[in-house]
Amino acid sequence: MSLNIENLNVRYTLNKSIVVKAVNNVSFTLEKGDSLGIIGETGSGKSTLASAILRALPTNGYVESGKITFDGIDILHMDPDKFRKEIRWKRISIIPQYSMNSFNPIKKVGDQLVTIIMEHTDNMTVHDAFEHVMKLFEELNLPPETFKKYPDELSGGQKQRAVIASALLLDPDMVIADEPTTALDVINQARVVALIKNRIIDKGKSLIYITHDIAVIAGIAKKVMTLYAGEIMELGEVHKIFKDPLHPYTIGLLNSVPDIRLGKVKKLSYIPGDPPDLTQTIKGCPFYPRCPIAKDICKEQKPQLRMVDGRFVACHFADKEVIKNV
Amino acid sequence: MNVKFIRDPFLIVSIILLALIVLPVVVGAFTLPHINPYSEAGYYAAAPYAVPSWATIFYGNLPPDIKIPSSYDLISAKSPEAISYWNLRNETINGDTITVVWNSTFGPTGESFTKTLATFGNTGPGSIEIIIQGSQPINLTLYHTFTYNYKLPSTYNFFNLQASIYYISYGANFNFNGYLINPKNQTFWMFTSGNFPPTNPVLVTYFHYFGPKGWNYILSSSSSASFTPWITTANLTGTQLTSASDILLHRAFNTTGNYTVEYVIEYIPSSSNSKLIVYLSDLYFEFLGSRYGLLGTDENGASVFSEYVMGGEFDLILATIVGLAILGIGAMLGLLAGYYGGGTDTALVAVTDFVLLIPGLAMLIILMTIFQQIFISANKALLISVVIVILSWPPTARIIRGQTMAIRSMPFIEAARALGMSNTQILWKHVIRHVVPILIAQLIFDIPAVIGIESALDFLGVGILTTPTWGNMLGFSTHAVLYAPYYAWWWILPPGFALFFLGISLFYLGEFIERQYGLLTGGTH
Amino acid sequence: MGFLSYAMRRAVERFILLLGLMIFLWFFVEALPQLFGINPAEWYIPFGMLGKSQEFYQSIIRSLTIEFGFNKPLYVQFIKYIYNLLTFNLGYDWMQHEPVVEEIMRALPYTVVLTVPPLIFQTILAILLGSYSALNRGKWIDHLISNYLIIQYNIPGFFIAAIFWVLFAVALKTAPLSAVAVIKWNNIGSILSAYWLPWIIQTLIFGFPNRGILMRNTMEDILDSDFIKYERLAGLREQLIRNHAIRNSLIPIITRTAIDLAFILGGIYILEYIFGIPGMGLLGVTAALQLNIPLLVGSFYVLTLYALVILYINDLIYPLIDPRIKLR
Ligand SMILES: Nc1ncnc2c1ncn2[C@@H]1O[C@H](COP(=O)(O)OP(=O)(O)OP(=O)(O)O)[C@@H](O)[C@H]1O
Ligand code: SF4
Ligand SMILES: [Mg+2]
Repeated sequence: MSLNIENLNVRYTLNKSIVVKAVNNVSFTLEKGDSLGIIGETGSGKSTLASAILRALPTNGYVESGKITFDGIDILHMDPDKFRKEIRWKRISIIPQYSMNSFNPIKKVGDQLVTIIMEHTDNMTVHDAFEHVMKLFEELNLPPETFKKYPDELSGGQKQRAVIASALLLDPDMVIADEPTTALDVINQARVVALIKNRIIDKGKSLIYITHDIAVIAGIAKKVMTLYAGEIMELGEVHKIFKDPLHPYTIGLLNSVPDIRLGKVKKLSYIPGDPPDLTQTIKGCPFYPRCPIAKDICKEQKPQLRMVDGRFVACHFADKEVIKNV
Repeated sequence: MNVKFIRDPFLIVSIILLALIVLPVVVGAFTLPHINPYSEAGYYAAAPYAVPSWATIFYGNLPPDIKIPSSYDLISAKSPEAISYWNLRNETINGDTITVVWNSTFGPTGESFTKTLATFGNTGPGSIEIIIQGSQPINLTLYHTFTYNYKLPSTYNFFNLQASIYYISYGANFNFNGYLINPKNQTFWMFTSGNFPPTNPVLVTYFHYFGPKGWNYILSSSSSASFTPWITTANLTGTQLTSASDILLHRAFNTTGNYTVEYVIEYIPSSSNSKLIVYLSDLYFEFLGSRYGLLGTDENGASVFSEYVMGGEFDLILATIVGLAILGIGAMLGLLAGYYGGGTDTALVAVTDFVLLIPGLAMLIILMTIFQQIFISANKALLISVVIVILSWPPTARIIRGQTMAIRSMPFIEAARALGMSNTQILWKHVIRHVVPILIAQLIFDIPAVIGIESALDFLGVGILTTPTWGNMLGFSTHAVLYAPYYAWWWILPPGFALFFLGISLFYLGEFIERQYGLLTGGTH
Repeated sequence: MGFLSYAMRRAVERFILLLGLMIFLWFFVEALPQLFGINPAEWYIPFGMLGKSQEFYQSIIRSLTIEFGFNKPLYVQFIKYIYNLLTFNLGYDWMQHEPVVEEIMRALPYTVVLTVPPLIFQTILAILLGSYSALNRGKWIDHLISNYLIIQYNIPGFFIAAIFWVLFAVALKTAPLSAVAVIKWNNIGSILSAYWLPWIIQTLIFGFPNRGILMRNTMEDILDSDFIKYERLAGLREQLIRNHAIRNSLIPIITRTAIDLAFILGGIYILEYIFGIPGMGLLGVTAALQLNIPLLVGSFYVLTLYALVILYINDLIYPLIDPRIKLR
């Protein structure tokens, strides 16, 4: 399996004349067994990117241009019903952001999972599906009663594990996890991360892991992508980028968490300023207003994503000495 | 009801509808005389069930009101033209001299009768003074001719002939008779009167005797044909007698052409120096027509437009006052409970829960019935208002409470408190300001609600019945529809549509205000 | 066990409301007049009796005064009053010369037949219109349905009833002018011919637009909710997703319908009055017009009691249809 995204642009219409440019010119490839972490401030387009891959954009969102192929199939132009039956959940599944409310509050959790199975398979009986769910529950350490419980009767951690179970129901090739730990306490966060590592990465599935929690990425992902204003700022191997970030925005993000490069806690800093207004066209570098090393050229000319030191970076000065002083 | 989809076109239509309903009420309230159409003084603006004037496009050339004379000055003899109007002049007949003068100071007073819009009497100074002197019996005729070229009348039309008379007799007897003469020269004897009874015993029953003192009012109507002398000349069979009024009307108005209204004074002297002085005023004939005004007439011939105006005025004023009272109580309690919480809040919630549990209309009917017997002399409108307020403030209080609670937890209130403002200051400065738009919207919602419930009471006959309201108009008209021509649509539809359009337009208006100024608490109704 | 104690607690709460209501009634019907120096016994005597001899009148007053204890202190009267209400001793109607309970029992079936079928029709109609509207949110059909419901909500019920009556009963003569003479309980045809028109009106007016709008708005919210989005993500068929959305939206509708069912008997004054259906509504209006206090209060008490029972039943079934409700 491989996922290939080329020059993807996603827009939201606010009203007749105003358009939000949520994802801009994004290209990357994900091979079998790859795990990609996506980081970026809120509003940087992470969830939009995930929705676009699953063709699940809100009604006012649309892919303006670009291509998404999955195993060579152009999934953006696939027959919707075929996509629903053959790709969703069977090949790609998602643990959505705010997944705490993913279950129908008036149906039993187990029944909902069985329904998903039955919707996608033709040769399984309800009993098979039930067995399958129970097995998955056991593997995910969910008590068997969970099957007969209503969503509100589960704890946050249990609910999140049930959502993960749901994502794994049909043994997909790729899972997208959109901030799966946000609403959980620390212990449950660790559990969920461990689950994802065991059940997805270690089983050789591909993973896109969206988070604000950089430490987790360091722990489980092979690759990492920083998104800013819907554009890729830096993309490459985790160990390379985290050790030696070359984009001022990545540097800023890494500085804003306890330092993982040196293995010791450093003073928290954050990046001053606000992300740009996505309804406006940005001529130069989107990070320009907040960048500590910006020069005049950054305002006028958009830096292209290019290979520097074994990763992709979109900064005019990525290969210059100044970057070391950020 | 919480509505999220109102569009501006609806707002515009609403405002137009509202104007359509309310403007006539406002204009009418300032221009129409305030005569209660539910009292006799307001009856017979035209015949019962007259259609609106403009509706003649559907119904053809229906007769309008025909008034002889048509101006008040001529009717009440306030001007000397009254003499020539009735074709009177100084003359000598059979040697008797007849002198006609206009008396500007002496006129009808002290008559007793119930006045309607079709009758005149007690009109004060102004009369025609006729002096007849001589020894020969003579007849003096007053007449006026008019043209009738409309559709022939229906059962609901009728005509009146009336007069006020005062006399001084010096040895003279007289009879005073009224007639209508149709184009076929058939004469209809409407009344006979005088200071000495007729010799024909059959006529005695129909004779009005005038005493020697004071003004005498005489009214004869085709609608009470069996009391007119015409009945003695009509040759009616037994069954026909029961519909004598109809027969008189249809025999009299059986063709188009010129009709003549005639009053005859029969002078019967007893000696050569007999003399009779007669003062006449309020000489008046009216044919009550089948078309009238903007909205026609009801079963009593009262103007439906007047009812609409007075009903609307009453409803709108009552609803505004009651709405304000509901709002006042609801806002006060809602603000206190919402802002301070605690026991006040619990009490409010308990009381409102309780009131919301009671079937409203049923309780309203009970309280009305009981209060009416305890406070027998109290104004009914006041009773209704009080009862509606008692039963209606809780929902408003609940909404204001919710809004206040939402505001209380907003950041700027924290800030104000941090700045050291007192609770009262905060309440006045911030909370009230944010609650006011909701209050206005609430008032706008309450007004049609109050009118609706008040109208329901009136409709059922439990509420106000003696002055017009839109509710009782609808009630009375619904009852009348069984007998009314064309189902009296001009009577039943205006109040119904007024209530309907008022409700809908104020609803959209209130929703608009809520949307503009943001209701923090979601659902309202 | 949890359910039983919940049921008990709710029963106590509802009973407290009933008690509050009885106090309210007692205050207005018996205490208030006495505060104003009126012997309520006088209210129990029809005007017709005033024509009878003074002794006869006085003897009735005396016997009533003793029967209801109007000569006793207020608190004794109060206890007696509550006791009478609780034992359905609703008094004697001196105008019709029969016990109030009997009149009410005779009227009830007419009202039940008038109200129950429309409640079913209108609930179905509200669900259909509301969900169709929500599924087509923002389109012209949504605006059409939504605004129709708002307009329907604002037309006064008595106006609709009057116009329909004029049109069908008076003008077209397809319904009887007054149902009293027509209805025979053993003849379905007579019931249909008398009731078809009031049924249609009752379907349109009472609570129908509220429930339609409620359905539409609830469903709109639910279609936007995370779990519906999730089902779509997970590749469920659109048809199935819609069914789930409808099923979830039904919960508030069911509660609303139960509340409407509870108060339905209080809302039929107009219809019964216009169509001459001798049910509870007409009974109430006639009692009010004749100042027949025992009948008026008795029928009101029965209506409210009925409302409380229905609300209590709703309390009991609600946790069964909505698992989110914890048994408080
Ligand atoms: N339905 C929508 N309509 C219009 N704009 C939207 C919509 N959804 C998202 N956006 C905008 O698109 C941009 C990207 O949003 P997105 O949800 O992808 O961000 P994100 O990176 O996932 O943020 P977070 O970390 O908060 O989840 C934001 O500016 C957001 O305001
Ligand atoms: S291109 Fe310029 S502004 Fe943008 S990140 Fe690099 S140095 Fe900063
Ligand atoms: Mg997101």
